[in-house]
Amino acid sequence: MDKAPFVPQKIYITRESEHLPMAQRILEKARHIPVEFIEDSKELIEDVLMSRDPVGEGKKILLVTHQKGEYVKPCPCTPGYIGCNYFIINTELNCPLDCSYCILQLYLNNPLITVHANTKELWQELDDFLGKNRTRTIRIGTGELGDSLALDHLTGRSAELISRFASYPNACLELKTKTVDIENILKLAPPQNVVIAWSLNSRKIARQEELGAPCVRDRIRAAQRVSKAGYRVGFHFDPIIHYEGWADDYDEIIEELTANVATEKIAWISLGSLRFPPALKPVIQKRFPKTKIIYEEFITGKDGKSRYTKELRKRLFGHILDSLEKAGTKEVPVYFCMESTDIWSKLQKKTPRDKEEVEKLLTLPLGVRRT
Amino acid sequence: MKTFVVAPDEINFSDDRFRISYHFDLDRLLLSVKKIGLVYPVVVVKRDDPRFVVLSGWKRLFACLELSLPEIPAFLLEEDDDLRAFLFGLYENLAARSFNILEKAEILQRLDRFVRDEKKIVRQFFPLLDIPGNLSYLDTYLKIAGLDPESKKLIFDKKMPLSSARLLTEFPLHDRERLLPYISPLSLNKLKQFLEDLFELTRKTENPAGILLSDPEIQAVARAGNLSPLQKSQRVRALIRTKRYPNLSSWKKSFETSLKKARLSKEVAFDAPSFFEDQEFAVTFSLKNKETFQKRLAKLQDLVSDENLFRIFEKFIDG
Repeated sequence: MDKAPFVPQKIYITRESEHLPMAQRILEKARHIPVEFIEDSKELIEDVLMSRDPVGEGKKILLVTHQKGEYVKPCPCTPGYIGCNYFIINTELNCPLDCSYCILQLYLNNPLITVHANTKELWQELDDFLGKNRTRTIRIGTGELGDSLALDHLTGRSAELISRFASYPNACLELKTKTVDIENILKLAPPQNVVIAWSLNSRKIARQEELGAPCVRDRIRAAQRVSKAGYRVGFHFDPIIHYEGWADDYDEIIEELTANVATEKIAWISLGSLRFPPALKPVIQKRFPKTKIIYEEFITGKDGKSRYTKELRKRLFGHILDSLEKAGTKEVPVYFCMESTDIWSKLQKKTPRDKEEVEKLLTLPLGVRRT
Repeated sequence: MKTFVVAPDEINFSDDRFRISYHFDLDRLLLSVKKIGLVYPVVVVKRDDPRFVVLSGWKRLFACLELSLPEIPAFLLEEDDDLRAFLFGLYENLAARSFNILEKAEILQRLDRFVRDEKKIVRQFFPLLDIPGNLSYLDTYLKIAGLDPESKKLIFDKKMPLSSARLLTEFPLHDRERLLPYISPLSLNKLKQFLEDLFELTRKTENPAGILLSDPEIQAVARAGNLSPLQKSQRVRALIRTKRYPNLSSWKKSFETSLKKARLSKEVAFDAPSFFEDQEFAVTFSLKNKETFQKRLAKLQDLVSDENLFRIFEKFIDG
């Protein structure tokens, strides 16, 4: 069943952003929601940070403000593991969905769902950054510090970005989501350098750990509609979570995915196992007292994060790779997110030496490279 | 403020509405009072009872009682409002010393009673007590203030950090009573690990700590007459760790057993990669001089042809 699109309890707009088109668009779309104009968000943020559950309280409020820092940044990945040379666009911060494992629960400088409205600076930064990197295909996306589409019914951000990326042929834009907020996307002609991607998980994990997110069937249906409209799509099985019966449950999702989405439309699939900084554990324990996912056997990885033992990671990835191959995705690039050379070499035919090689693996089939 | 002297029977010891310290070491103060008398009088207030209520100086008061002083120097603060009186005592203490977590817990419990405005407490008093400005800390400290005396004593004796004390509050009283004998002898780090492992097991298995501690293996350790309290604690901690991390524990044991079976020389030791995550094993040996160094190298050279050893490595690298 569709989950209703996010409706904040209140919208705060900073004075400097009030007259910008993004703020005006949000005001237009959210007429029924109380709005307050503020000079500065500091006091508001401090007030929410004081509450017992700043993350939960922050999800009730939408802040429209200026991005004071840089919009475009390299994805930090994680030290000691193979990255994929990804770049992130910080258009939005935080997410109305409430996934138990979400790392954003640790980023507490600002717990509010925040939309950055000064789009002019974003375009300038993208022009500069992509202009300097014309000889390679840059993979870049908005889904790292928030869900790319969860606010789209209010912001219309996807349409702006997709239209803009038509003028960046050396870049591949990924909009990553767990939602089914695809109406704005379907109105546009699909450019070949845009990938709409979904985070997928087993039904059990989606139901128990991804609160507020649409069920997996709806996500796959949305992916089907988008791919039928001509877009390339991507899928992220991340975090893959171990529990009794996991193998059959993930098989079921892979079968459903490949039965509904044409594999030639799939730009990439990524696999990542559950991992988290140790500081996230007490947050999860407090916010999600019923979850059991953090009580598996974890080791401390080279990056200091807790992750499953290598033996278990190999089992999880090996099974899902087999299942994907059996389901006919042999031609689809599959990569590991934040994994060791050892895991790559044991499970994939070719082990990338570095993140540049992963980038090549993922961008070559797209046909968007320019010489 | 009036200065005067008060006899012990003029003080209402059962009225501890302003008291923030319940655990202290009197030795140094006793020596000081014995040598030079009580330099800083205790502060008292009057309430409905004809006897005085102590506002600050409980430690000084107990030192005087211990020395059987018939008269105790005191200041009388004429303040009828409990909050204002409490703040007087708080600021007096704040100027002189920092508070341990039990004292912070008592202070916040009193403020919660007197102020009745949680956000005001966070804004106004958390910075003074070096507590991060979030209401969940108020909950944690109030839980600590509500702990039983034995648990509080352990927190005081061990100088337990907030993270460990918080874990202790996660267990109900009847489980804590069973737990305390096992954790009391442990060092701070091991104590915290024990509490974490046990707490996580309660969440994972949905069994209370009491049930987990009733495990026959643990009970056998508890009954063992030949073990000291520390040895029992260490063994129970190890058993809980094995239950929390069964695979890693069994790999470690299996690796050690395999090496033992291989009957390697004692001069050369092999260590598994941490968590069996990396692919490289470490070898360590000691030497005294060039001669012993050459002997060790020769030993290592012999080991190169030891197929058993490499089978062990392969087993643990490839799982």
